[in-house]
Amino acid sequence: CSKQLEKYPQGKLTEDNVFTQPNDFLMAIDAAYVPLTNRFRGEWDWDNGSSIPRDWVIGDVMSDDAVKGGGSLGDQEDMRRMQTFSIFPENNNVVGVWRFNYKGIDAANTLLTQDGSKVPGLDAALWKRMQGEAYFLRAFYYFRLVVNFGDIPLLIPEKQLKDNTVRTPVAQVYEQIESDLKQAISLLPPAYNDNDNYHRATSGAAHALLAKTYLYRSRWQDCLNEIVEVEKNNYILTDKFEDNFNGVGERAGEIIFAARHDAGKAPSQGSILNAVFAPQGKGWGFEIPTQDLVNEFETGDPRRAATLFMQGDKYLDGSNYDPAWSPLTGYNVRKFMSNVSPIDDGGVDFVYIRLADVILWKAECHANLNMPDQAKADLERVRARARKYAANPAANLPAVTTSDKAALLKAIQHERRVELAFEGHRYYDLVRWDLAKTVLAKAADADPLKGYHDYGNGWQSFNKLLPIPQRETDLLGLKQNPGY
Amino acid sequence: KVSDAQGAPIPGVTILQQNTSNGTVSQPDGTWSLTLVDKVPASLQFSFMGFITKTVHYSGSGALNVVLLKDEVGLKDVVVIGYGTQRKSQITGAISSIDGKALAKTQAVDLSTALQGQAPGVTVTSPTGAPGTEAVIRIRGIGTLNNSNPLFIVDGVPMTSGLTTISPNDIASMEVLKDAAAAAIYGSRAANGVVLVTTKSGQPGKNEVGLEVAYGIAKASGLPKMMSTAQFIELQNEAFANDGSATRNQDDPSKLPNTNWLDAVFRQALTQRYNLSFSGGSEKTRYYLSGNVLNQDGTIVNSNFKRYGLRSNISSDVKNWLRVGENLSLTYDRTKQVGASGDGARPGSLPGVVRYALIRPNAIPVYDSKTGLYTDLPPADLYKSALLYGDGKNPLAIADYRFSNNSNYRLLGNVFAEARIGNDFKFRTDAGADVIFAEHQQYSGQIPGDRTTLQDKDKGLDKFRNRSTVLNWTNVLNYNHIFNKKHDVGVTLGSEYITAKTDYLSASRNGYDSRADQSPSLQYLAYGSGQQFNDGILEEWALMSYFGRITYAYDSKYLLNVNMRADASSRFSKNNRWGYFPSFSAGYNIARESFMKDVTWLNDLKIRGGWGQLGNQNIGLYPFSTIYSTANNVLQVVSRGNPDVKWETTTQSNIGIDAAFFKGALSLSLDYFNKQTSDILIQLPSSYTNGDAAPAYVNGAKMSNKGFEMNVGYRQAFNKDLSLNVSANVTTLKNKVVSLYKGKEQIFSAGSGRVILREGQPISSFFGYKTAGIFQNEKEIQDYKNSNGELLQPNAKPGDIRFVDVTNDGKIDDADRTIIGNPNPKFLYSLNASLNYKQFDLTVFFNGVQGNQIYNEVDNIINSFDGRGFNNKEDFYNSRWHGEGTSTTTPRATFQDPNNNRRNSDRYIQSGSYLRLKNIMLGYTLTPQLLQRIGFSQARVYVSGQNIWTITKYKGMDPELYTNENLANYGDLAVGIDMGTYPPSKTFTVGLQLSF
Repeated sequence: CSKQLEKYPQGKLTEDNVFTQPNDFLMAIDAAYVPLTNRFRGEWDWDNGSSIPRDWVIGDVMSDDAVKGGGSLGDQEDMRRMQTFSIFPENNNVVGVWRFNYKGIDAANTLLTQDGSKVPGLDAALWKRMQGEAYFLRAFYYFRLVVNFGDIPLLIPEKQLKDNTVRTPVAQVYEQIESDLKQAISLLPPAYNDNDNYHRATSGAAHALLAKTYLYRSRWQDCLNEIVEVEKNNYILTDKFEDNFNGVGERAGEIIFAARHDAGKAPSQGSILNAVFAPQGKGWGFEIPTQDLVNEFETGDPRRAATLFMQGDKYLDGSNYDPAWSPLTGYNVRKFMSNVSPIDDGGVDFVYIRLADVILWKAECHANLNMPDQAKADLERVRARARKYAANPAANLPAVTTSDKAALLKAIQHERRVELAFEGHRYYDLVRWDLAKTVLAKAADADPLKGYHDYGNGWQSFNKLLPIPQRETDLLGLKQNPGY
Repeated sequence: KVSDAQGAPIPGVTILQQNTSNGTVSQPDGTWSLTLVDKVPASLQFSFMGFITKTVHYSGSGALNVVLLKDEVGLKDVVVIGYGTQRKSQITGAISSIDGKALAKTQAVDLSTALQGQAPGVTVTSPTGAPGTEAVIRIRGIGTLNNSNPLFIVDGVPMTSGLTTISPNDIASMEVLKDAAAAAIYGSRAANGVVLVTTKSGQPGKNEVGLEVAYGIAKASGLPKMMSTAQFIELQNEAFANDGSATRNQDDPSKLPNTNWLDAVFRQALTQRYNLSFSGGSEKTRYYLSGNVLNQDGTIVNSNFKRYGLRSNISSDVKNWLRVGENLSLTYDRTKQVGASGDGARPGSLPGVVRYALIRPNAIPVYDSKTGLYTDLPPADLYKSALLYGDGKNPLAIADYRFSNNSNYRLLGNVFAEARIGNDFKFRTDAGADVIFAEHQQYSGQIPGDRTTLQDKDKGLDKFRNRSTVLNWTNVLNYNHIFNKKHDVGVTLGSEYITAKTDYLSASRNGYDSRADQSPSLQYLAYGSGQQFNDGILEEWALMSYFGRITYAYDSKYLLNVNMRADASSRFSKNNRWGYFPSFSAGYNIARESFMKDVTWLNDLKIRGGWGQLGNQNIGLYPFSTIYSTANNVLQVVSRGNPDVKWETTTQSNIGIDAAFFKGALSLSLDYFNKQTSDILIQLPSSYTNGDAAPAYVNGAKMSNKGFEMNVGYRQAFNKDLSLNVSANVTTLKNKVVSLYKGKEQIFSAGSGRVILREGQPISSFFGYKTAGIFQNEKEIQDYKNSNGELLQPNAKPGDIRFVDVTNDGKIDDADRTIIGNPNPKFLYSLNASLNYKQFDLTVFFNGVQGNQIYNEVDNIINSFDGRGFNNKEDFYNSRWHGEGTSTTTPRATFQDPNNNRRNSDRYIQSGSYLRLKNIMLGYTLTPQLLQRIGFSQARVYVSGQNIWTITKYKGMDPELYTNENLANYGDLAVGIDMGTYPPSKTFTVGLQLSF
């Protein structure tokens, strides 16, 4: 009769049989990539932050590049609260950022606590690579958390760091990130040549992410040293700027690390941002480009048309773009958009790190180290690519000639804004450059119905960090960031 | 002749000469005759089921006409207990008996709602007004942080939900086992109480056909009044001005529609009930056959509940030592549900249709005048800026096009054989089954006029079919003997095996064309031409048990009762599988002592007390195991296991008194209980820092529930024409969280509401900021500063809420949140009264809850101006701050809300006390003379009203929230947070009862 009482989960793996087949390891490392994608069709739990990663809300909507948009002034009210700096710890975007990154860390940790070396059929080289991917991804997620929240719980099971109720100081988190990335560098291949795996983390991506962490800590020389390692991997700038964002150039050599999306797969691997950013009527019309950003583009800059839609452009489906589709400003995002159906099954990879971004870091490091000639050369690489397809290459986008440090930095700031718009960098750059307070100040001429200077109360210095989600401070007893 | 109060003859009455074995039975016309033995005068006892037993002194000459009064409340002699019956006088546990007639009178359409107010200590709440919703039942409070549902045993078959399939008309009696002494024989499933349901059986010699027909009209109640278009626009412009913005809503309200969205989706709804039964039998065989039909429309268009039920209860003595029988019911029910989920903006909040009916501005028309289709996003051409009217959906469109059908086929019942071995032994074996086939279907096609034009490949059909079986095999051996006429000894030994399985199968397809949108006959999987999905798993559990009971009564005065059950559950790992649940109780029938003989006003007095332990195994099926999912080709932990989890144990003591006075006219029952639940299985805080997997269970918390229960009954026949029957009960409950895992408090959120588990406090105390009025002017803001001269609320503007610095540390932050309310009522009460006068009968039933608070999360949405362009209650318009001195309670309108006025605070805490007239009924029974002429044995017509009158200070739709578990997935932890619901309704019913 005791046999009648043996009831175990059916149709699901348990600790008794999981991680005994090589495929389990592959599926486990793939799980660690999911939180950086936008593959969440139909899971609309907005309040708990599970519906979409919110990097664009912070990177773009909280900056001067975009306003929230949507079906009404208050559609996704919490996003507008981010935009207008009325950010409270209950805000679901804050939960989203926290949740997605920790979800990724948990998936990486799940793999890293396994011993794949004893599993029959699991190739040793493959197991080594998967560990490298896990280290890279864990570092990637921790970096996003530390930038957004400051001190955070650091969970590293192999070091017995398992207490989620303590906020580990920023410096210690960075130490872990560096150590994880160095591990990743030693374990990962420089590239993948097959279509199934091209999106996976490489040693080049690990070097680039490490460089970025130095950049964010103003360690200019360390950053340059890592970029040297990145460039050993023979990345190139694509001939056409727009090919990085329309699906054409996903494997062309500029993209160093991206979240992979393919349309028309079951289960879906498409990006729902394709619906979120699509104009009202076709999609939901969020992330509306501002007039301010449009003005930033120099005359004849071909990157404008690759970045956003305006009157006179052809829409993705070949029809004439109608500014009425975007009642706030008359513009919509073009980067990463594709003409697919269903519209939330977008097929374009979302770029996290590409060579042009790295070159501009390099320019910034050189400028800060008072090496203006090198900085100008870096800038010129990026501008030259754009210039080639400018309306009038002879006159548009002239080379930057100044050697004045402040002017050079200004030129780099301008270049980053137009080159990298809607890739989720602008707000972090403004904070890094100490410009947020002036650029995102409360504006007397703000008009929320026109998407004009809609910064609400304006950025204040405590906004440098986001609040810890209320849910987490409540459950874990974490101390809140100052100002919230 | 024997007759009832109306003068109708009663056949089948047993007439016994006391202290002899001499007796007879009355004839169909009520007449009887008996030759007396021994001398006159003699005492004659008249007894008949359903009537109060009467003893008459017969002087010895002339015809004796006896009138028997109906036993409405049912001071029955024999009470059903776990795996047996017991004489009421010998009961030592806390058991409430409920007569089936009382349930049928409530006009409730199912068993769960019929239970409300029928017994002390039993709390029943309808979580929503949607038809087909099962009420939530809690016995003696919330006993655990897990599933607190009591165990139901219907004719021996266990179940924990699905009472909506049972018609109250089929119920003979219900027994609620509340304390450990009564319930311990059900061991690991009894911690939350046990309800024993006995369905009707036929009576020998009384072959009868019964018919009941009732029609009811229901209307939604408690709906708020929303702002008009003009008020909406005025408030938006006030908000822009308050925010220092030059932007304005420039629309002219007189040129815009002023739609009442609540009127658009609510309707008067019809309920029809039909019951037909055949019952009767002979000495050896009894039968009860019945059929019932229910068709209940919801007050929201397109919502409906239908039920068709058949029952067959037959038993027969096939040998003089062997009785066999069955109790089987077969039901089909179908719930048509309108879009029950919101837009996801706040999980669990307001079902879609209600939500959008409340928040959609009046300025939007129901139909677009150009296309004639439903409006969706505000039609841009009507407004200067359509962005100001929100992005909500059209509630009527959702009601018409986004409903689902859920149906259940259920077979519930048992077959049994009972052998008498000698005079003292009885062996019974029972095979029971509860088999449910559940089906769900939802078609998502194109809504005409919707913002999203669906391509064929995006239209889909979802279906699932679940097969759930619970089988039980129970064997019970009973021994009963009275030694020396004084020592009444009973022994019960038994075993039980229960096995349960649920097999899930689901499928969906995409790819439906416009013909499928129009025609339900194409809404089948076969017609879908696009992607196909399917899924399926199996879930199982099993329980193996041995149990025993010893009862001893000395001279019916001193009573002793010992129970023991051993359960082995599949839900625990091998090492922790067995749990042992003992109980002891004793009673003392003082009234039977010889020295009480002269106290004639006291007929019955019993003191009883008991102690015992109960278990709980309702914690998910495989808590010991870490479960992984491979969905979407990625491997993820779904839930973490803990192989060390063990039984949760409830230790309960109970002291009670039962008394009857003045020949039973007044009865009183009083209980005090102390229920301590330890090793409560709690999930570790499910923080997102650990990924999305459900955390493991640990045996971590301790909780205490204490309370008094009192039931008072009074019944009196004043004369032949007038009788009164009153029953009132009161329950007090005091809940306390005694200890928590590692002493750590936990805060849970539901919408903006927060509840806290804190040691020493009641479960789910409301947690949040304290407010101290409204800043009336800039000076008040500037004056609100700490000792360093820093403003406590630097972002505040006049008209914003002043929050209290509870910690007194010179700043307002998280640490200032404190306990701001308690959702647990101090006491619950109800009153049932019926008055009979000649052919008329009047019944009133009041139910009330006192001393609890509700967190009105709905007001956070519709009574707090927000930036989403959604409508608000007119109450907000009337009470808001709009200039110095205009309000001290409700803040200003603002889009930006820099002060976070809407944060969770005591602003949303309201009293949840209420007293509700649940039912009032007036009936008329035809006179016996008339009945005889038309050949009926009974005929009654009645009118009744349900929920027609409520006293409450609560400002939400319905204060009847306590034990509502329909919230934010936290079960009972989020009790008292009103997330909005399908509103309750007032119903008027007319009915007809016939039997012949």
